[in-house]
Amino acid sequence: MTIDTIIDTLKNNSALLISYKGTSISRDDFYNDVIKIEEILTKTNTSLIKEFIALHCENPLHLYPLIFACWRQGLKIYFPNKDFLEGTCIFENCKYTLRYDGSDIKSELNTSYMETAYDERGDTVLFSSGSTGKPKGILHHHSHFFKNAQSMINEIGLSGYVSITMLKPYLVSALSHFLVHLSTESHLIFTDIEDKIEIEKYSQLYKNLAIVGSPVHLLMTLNYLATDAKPIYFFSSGDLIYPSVIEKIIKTFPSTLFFHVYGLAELAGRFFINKYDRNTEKNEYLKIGKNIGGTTCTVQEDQLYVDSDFLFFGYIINNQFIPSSRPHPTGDKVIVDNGFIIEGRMDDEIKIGGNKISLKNIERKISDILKESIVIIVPFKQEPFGTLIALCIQSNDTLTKRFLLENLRKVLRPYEIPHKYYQITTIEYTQTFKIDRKKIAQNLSTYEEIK
Amino acid sequence: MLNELVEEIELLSGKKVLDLDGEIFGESGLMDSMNIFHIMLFIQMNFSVEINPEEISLESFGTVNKIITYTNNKLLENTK
Repeated sequence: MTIDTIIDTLKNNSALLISYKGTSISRDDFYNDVIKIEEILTKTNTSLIKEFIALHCENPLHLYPLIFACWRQGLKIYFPNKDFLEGTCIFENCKYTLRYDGSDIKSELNTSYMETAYDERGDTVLFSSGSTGKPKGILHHHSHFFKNAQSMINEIGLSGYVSITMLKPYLVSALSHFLVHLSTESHLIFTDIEDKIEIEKYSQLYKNLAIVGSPVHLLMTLNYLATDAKPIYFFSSGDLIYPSVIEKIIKTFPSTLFFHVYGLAELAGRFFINKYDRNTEKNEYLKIGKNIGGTTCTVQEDQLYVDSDFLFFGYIINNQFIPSSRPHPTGDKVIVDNGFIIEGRMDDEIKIGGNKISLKNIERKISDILKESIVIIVPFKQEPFGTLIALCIQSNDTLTKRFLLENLRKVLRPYEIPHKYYQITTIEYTQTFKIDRKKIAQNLSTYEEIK
Repeated sequence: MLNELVEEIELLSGKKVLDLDGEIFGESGLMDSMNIFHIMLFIQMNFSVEINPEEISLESFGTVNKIITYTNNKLLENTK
């Protein structure tokens, strides 16, 4: 799969490709848009070619043709992110910003530009806030995204289905799904998680819809689907999904096929894929499946390492280029048990009274008990004890500390039992719609304590 | 204070407190020694007692009566 071979298949093909906020474009529309943008770019200042440029565009109907045109013209690009689009950050390493509104392209010179060394093979940078909160650019070549998508297509073996996703178009997980749709003659609908009416409308229109989103998206979407909707596939994306969520979805839609799609920006998209259906043993829900073709996995000291010919070239942090190491340490802590079970992030481990605990592992255990709730474990400092942990719960039920303790002590080790309990109404999310533990930890004192 | 403390210990351990001088923590006690943080935090939050880090030991917190004595002494210090 290369960019040129894909583009050639789009011409004169009237099948729908992308929908966004009530507007749809066909594959042929996409082709024409790419060609139009390429023509504009060739007339633009040629110095663009030499420098990394930041793409300022969120609408997928415009963003994806723009990305394709840039790649085909040999331009080097930074993907947008939420902070950049909202104007709260600039990409200092980009000399220009390109804006595209569907008809015209505007380029702006970045006055605070700082030159940075790169690996010359790279032409695309994803800029993530990173799980550690330290912003970092991830340098790839665009072929990495296509190779990753091809590996995913080989693994899932599906085509011709319509998907709706709540993922933001500029996220690597969204691009990954888009490339799969682009290559398998299928239609991808972008929507906002807040737009309940649109989600309901599409689930009525396409009875056999595929739902794509983070675990939180999937849970929320269940409440918005039309009553007679029968989604055929669910793809969880972007964050670790708990078995209780899979169980709930399969119980609600017994004929559905659930894909746990675990991704990594450093691998230009997806990494592990597992399939579950109503016949899958529940203890298999924990397993993230097998790594997609083209990647190799090893485990060293409980940490998962990966290598692939679509592995990124390196990070850009504080204007420094840091080459990737091979194999690349993913930061994921895994248990190997006839497959991989992710136990949490290496950096989500903290010590309570000398005992190491994994926040995500505790969350997973609790979510098995509180099935209808979203549970979040965050650390907090309390003098003189040092670091302790709090359990934050978003639930429709009225919970008491007594109920929680009586149940938690059955599944948690003594040092894993949270020290404080809060009921929260609004959950803070990161731009990739992962739960923002940092923000929640900062806001603990504002939540209602469960007594 | 006694009733609230006993209730918290029973809730955490899932066992009945039958002896106020019996060991709460450790192998012969009602619960794991790691739960000492829960009990100390409970005292700090519910009885407004500032716990001194040097006093975190089973000498002060090993039994229900020891905890009550410690807490009462602290409250007394606060009133002086």
